[in-house]
Amino acid sequence: MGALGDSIKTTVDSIVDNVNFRTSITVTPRTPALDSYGGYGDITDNEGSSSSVYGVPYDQVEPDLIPHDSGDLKTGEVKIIFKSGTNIVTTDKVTFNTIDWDVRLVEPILFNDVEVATIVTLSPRLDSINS
Amino acid sequence: MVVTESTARVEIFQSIYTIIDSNKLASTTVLATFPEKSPTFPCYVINPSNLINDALALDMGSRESDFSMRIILYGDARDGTKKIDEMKDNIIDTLRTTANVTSLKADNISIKEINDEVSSQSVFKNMKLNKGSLTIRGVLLI
Repeated sequence: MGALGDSIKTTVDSIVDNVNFRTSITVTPRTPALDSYGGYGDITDNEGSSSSVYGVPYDQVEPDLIPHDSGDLKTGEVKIIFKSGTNIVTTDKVTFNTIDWDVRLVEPILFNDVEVATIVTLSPRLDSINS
Repeated sequence: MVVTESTARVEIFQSIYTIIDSNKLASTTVLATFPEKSPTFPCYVINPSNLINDALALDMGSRESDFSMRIILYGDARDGTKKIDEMKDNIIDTLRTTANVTSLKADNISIKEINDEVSSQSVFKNMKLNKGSLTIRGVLLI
């Protein structure tokens, strides 16, 4: 563990905990299950108990209108900085600002042998943003 | 709506659109090709018809024109490919139901065949969409 890495982690943690910067975010674990025909029918999300964590969103684009042959589809993306060690995986549902988001990318940020933060990239599901 | 030769493309589309929209599966939408509108999935997208204008009449009083129309089906990947199959079955059943066959005949339209085409999955941004299509072939008796 490097001293500079520890120092940066402490700084990031203090920003994410700061009431002037942070946003309350709900994380709901999901255990997706296929139907008895290997996913021919609906996929069931099987949501678990949700928990509340703090993060700092940035680079939010919503909605991004993309032409498609079924119609113009709205999409979007946002990145959130979480404290290192925040338990979040790509099957989780993340809810903030009244929108449900899917986790697309989880990036642990390592510096000086220390994981100083976790950056998560989210995008909404088509059916949650286009209806 | 009785289809006439001078406005056949528009009226064939409207006649078939109306019947499919009236009989669509629950929680689906029916759209025309390339609408500038946000769709909800699953959806049926009905393309304009291709019409072959026959110069020769079968007899002195009537003329037949063949047409084809492609219907593309889109579904959220989380609905599974089953939803695409259900929508295909729904279209075929709709166009074979006696009342609808009678209604189309009153419009001068007879459906000759419905070709089932390959279902596939495509990636849109970070998401997947299921897709399938049917081509309807019919004849317009004018």
